[in-house]
Amino acid sequence: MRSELLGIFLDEAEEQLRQLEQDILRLEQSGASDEAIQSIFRTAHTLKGSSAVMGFEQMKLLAHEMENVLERIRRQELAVTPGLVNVLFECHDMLCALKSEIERNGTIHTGTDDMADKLRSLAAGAVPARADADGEAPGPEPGAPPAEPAASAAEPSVRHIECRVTLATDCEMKAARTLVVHQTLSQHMRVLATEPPMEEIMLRGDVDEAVFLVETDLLPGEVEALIRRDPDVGDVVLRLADAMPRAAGPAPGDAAERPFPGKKPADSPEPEAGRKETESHPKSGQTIRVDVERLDHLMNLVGELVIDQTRIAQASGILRDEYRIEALEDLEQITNHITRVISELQESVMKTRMLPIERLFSRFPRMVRDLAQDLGKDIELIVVGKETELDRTVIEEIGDPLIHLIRNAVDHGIETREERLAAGKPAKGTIRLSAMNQENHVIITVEDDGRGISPGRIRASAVAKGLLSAAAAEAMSDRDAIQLIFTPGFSTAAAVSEVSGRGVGMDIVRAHIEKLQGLIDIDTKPGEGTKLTIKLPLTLAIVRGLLIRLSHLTYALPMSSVVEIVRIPQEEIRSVKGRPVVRIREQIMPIAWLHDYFRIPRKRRAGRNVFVVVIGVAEKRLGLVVDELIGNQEIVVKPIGSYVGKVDGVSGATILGDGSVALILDAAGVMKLVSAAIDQDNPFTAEQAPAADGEGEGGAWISESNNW
Amino acid sequence: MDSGQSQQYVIVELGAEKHAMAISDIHEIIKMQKITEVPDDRPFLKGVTNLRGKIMPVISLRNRFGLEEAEAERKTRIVVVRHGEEMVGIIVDGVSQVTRFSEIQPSSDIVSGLDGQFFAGIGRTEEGFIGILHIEHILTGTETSERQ
Repeated sequence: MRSELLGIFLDEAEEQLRQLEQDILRLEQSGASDEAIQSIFRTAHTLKGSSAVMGFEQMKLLAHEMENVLERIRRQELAVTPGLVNVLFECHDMLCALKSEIERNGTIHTGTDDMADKLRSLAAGAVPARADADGEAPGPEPGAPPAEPAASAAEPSVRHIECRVTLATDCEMKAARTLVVHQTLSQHMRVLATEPPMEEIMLRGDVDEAVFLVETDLLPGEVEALIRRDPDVGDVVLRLADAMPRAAGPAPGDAAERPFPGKKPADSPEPEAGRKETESHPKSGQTIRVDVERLDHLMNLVGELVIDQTRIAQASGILRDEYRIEALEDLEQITNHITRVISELQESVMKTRMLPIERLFSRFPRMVRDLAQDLGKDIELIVVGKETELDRTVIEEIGDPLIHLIRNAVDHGIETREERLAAGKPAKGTIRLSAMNQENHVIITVEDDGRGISPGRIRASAVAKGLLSAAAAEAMSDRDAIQLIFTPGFSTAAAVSEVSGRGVGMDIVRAHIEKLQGLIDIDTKPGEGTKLTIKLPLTLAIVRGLLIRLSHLTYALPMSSVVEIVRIPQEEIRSVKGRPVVRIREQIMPIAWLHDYFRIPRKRRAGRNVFVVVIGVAEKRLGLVVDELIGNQEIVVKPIGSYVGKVDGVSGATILGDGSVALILDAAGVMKLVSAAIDQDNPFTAEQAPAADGEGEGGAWISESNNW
Repeated sequence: MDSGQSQQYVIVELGAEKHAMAISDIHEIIKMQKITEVPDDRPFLKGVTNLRGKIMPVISLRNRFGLEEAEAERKTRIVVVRHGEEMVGIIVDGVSQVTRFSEIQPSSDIVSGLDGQFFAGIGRTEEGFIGILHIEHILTGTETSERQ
């Protein structure tokens, strides 16, 4: 029971700390506006209340000292200075550290005196007289009432709160439970009325919902925390009833008009405090927490089903062709139905694993602020589309690359104030971080209005670092030259700064993103800014794949990287500088036989035409000559494992309808494989199978980026 | 090496040769499966197969010992062994019996050369001596010389 409570506390604390961070940022940006102060005050106060209830004294103390500082700001006795904001941030970080400590050890050992002193000295200079009233309160046992002298002194507001308490469905002896809640509340506040009346509850016995009208100086969040201490309580909906006359008798009989449990009374005209509290448990009656592992397991099971369903469909097709029996029609119908149900199931399970990208994005405003301050730059971060949903594994994996890109934008992208003014730009730089859905993908962009990247500098730097010859650099288009920043060992920073680190650069970012089956593209204009676009699949577990055959082997190509499929007469294959190409709609398209790279004998085609599957990575296109097109279907992506290790051009494997394994090709890897071979100036001959045997061999820059 | 009387061994066949694998190394023994080739530099890595929904790499013991590849027959088996977190299949020509050894000697006394690393010891039975395979070295050891 204790651990369950602790879990709820930690979840809430995380929420509150995130809110606190945003509030402090807002305080810094908009100054001591009433709204900002109110919001931050409320958050600190809630945190104080809940940590006091849980007996985490240090946490409570810090929140309390923070409150004192805020109180003085609110009374306009303290100005919001950068120094003050920094201390508030420092305190926030400490609270986060304490929270993680609780998560790890269940208790707090870290000393918080220094931090508390800092806050105190901030608040000092005047009369923080109330600090001693509860600053040195004895360690409260969890059951103790969350004493709030500071708050009530600051705003001696007595609230009337209507608490609608629903008991958990599996709770036994509901009447007794309700009585316990009633008594808990009575210990801490005045219970004005109960609906249905307590006597009736005791008589009926099977009441699973009761409404208590209480009069209290506690905040709604604290009242809720009190009620929720009883693990048999399923749902709590609070509603401020301040408009109610003080002498209110039994709860008004308009129960029917009140919101149903679980429904957020968003439209009720409440003071903000009340709304905030209800929001911290959004739809608590309709959501449950589920262990991530269970969801993963569920997803795996669905993956198995998808494979089996393909196999059943295949087997039933074979039966139908072989025997024309009526019973088989039934089988076919059932198969079709199963297919539909499974694809719906798959979609639902996938959705349960999705999280709003806000989880990740909320970290960045603070990061940008800190970095900008360190570098003495003035930067505004605009975040768009944080409600966009993504698979949780993708969200976890994309964090580091995004941090890197944003750091780069702050450090290298945005110029100093002086440079910007000299260039006729606003002194304040802007970084725009956005996320949006596009079909089965999510597009994330990081855009800055900084100095952009000059292709000339990239060329020079790449040549200086020995990544390619001066002639090769000259021959390169500007666009291709910019792409060089994704080359391992390339770093554009003139001086290695503390912010962006050294060595690990854009190549790691790209490797990360490609591991997620994503793409990254860069668009930059010198003097105007840089835009990085990341395209990620919604989920990694199940994708649509095009099945192709090379000689006797079946491969799957993710549909997301297939641009088009064309049939071309063999005699139209030309050679340009020793490279085979075809012409598709007046465009010259390089083509390749993957056979050569995978050591598969090329098949002599009987017909006159060959199939070419055009794959695309960013703006690059490559035609793959395939021997047969099998069709497209859902494929479950499975890892090949560490024994086989990384195979160039292959991202994983899948199991086909007949139970056999097909490798999944990865378009970016295939392109690297092919361009590495060209760089080695190796003609396309089946005998030599270039690149397939070379780990970083030949020093060609493209092939090296495979080794992550 | 101590006398390994408590340990049981499975005798695997490779052409006319017989080798032993400790039962404790073996996860299961399955019939020959359809194997999907994977581009790889290790000639003994035949590819991957589907072991109850998981992708399992399969190697050829014949290739590992530099023997000619043989057509899969009715007797051909895949011995599934654990390798770290994953399973790896080892193709053998056949699996004959389970046995114990009255005595085990270090392999270096008898087998020398590059293939020596593939043996953990030599076990003695009534019919004679049988080499005990060192599974870990077979999976990850360095390339053997061609021995045809």
